[in-house]
Amino acid sequence: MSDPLDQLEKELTSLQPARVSGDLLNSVGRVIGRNRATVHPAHPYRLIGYTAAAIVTLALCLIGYHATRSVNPSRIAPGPLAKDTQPPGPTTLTADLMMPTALAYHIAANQSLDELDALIDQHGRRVLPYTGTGAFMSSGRQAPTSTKPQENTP
Amino acid sequence: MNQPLDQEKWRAWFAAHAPGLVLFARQYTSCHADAEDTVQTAFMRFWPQRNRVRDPRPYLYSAVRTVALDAYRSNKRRQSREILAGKESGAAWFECPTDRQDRVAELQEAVKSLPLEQRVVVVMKIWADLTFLEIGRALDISPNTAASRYRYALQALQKRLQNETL
Repeated sequence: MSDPLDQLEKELTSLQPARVSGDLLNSVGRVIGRNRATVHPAHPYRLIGYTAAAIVTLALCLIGYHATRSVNPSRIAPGPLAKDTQPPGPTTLTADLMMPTALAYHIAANQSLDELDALIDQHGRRVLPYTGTGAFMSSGRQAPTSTKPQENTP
Repeated sequence: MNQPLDQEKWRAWFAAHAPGLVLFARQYTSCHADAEDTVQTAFMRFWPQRNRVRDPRPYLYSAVRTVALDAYRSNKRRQSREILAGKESGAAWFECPTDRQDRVAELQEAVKSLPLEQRVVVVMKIWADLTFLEIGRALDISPNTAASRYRYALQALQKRLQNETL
C-alpha cells in the first residue's frame, strides 16, 4: 500500500465514532443484568417439542410391543403350534414320504444293490397307504421280486 | 473471549464496542436513533448465544447487519427514499474536535460517498479493527473480496479528497 493511502488510513483511524446515548447503554445493561442463559423464546418451545416427541415415540413403542404380544402365531401362518406334540396329518405324510437322504447314502455305500432295492421296497410299502395309488414308483417300475425274505413287512 | 465474562465486564465490553457497532448500523439506517435500536436488538439476539459464540465482535456485527436489513425490508419504501435522497438526521458519525471540524466533516462526506458494500468494509476494518477473515464471515463474503473492497474504498477516498483539495 502506498504512503498516501497509509496516511489516509491513519487519519481515518484517528477519527472516533460518535458516542452512543445513555439509553442504549442502560437498556443493554438491563439485558446483561438479567443474566439468563436463554431469553429467546425459541428455546423453551424447542424443549417442549423434544419432550412431546419423546413421549409420543415411547407410547408408540409400548403400543407396538403389546400388539405384537397379543397376536396368535397360529393365525399368522398355518403350521404346528409349539404345544402340539404330534404334527398334524399333512406334515406326518410329508415326513413319511421322504426317504432319509443321509441314511440312503450310508446304506448305498455299504450294502449290495439287492439289499438297497429291498430297502427301497420297504420304504415304498410304508408310503403306499398314504398315496393310495397302488404303486410306489411313478416311473412304472414294478415291485422287485427279491428272493430274500422281507423284514418288517406290514 | 473464551472465559465467560461477568456482568460488569460485559457492560464495559459493550460500552467500548458500542460506538463502532452504531456507526456500522448507521450504514444501513437513516438516523442515529434507528442505528441504536438496531444495535440493541442485535445484542438481545446475541446475548442468549454468548456462551456458544467464540468471538462476539464478528457475531455482533453480523447480527447488526441482519437486523438492519430486516428493518430495512419492513420499512423499505420510507427508508429507501430517505437514504437515496440523503435525508439523514444531522448527527455526526464521528466525534468532532473543535480544531478539526472541517476535516472531520470532509472525511465523513468522503466515506458517505462510497458504495455501501465498500463503506461497511471500511467501517469494520478501521473502526472495529476486524480482520478481513472476520469481515468476510460477518458479511458472507470471502476475505479476499473484503480486502479488495477495502483497497478500492481507500483509493476512492484518496481520489475524492485529492480532488477536493485541488
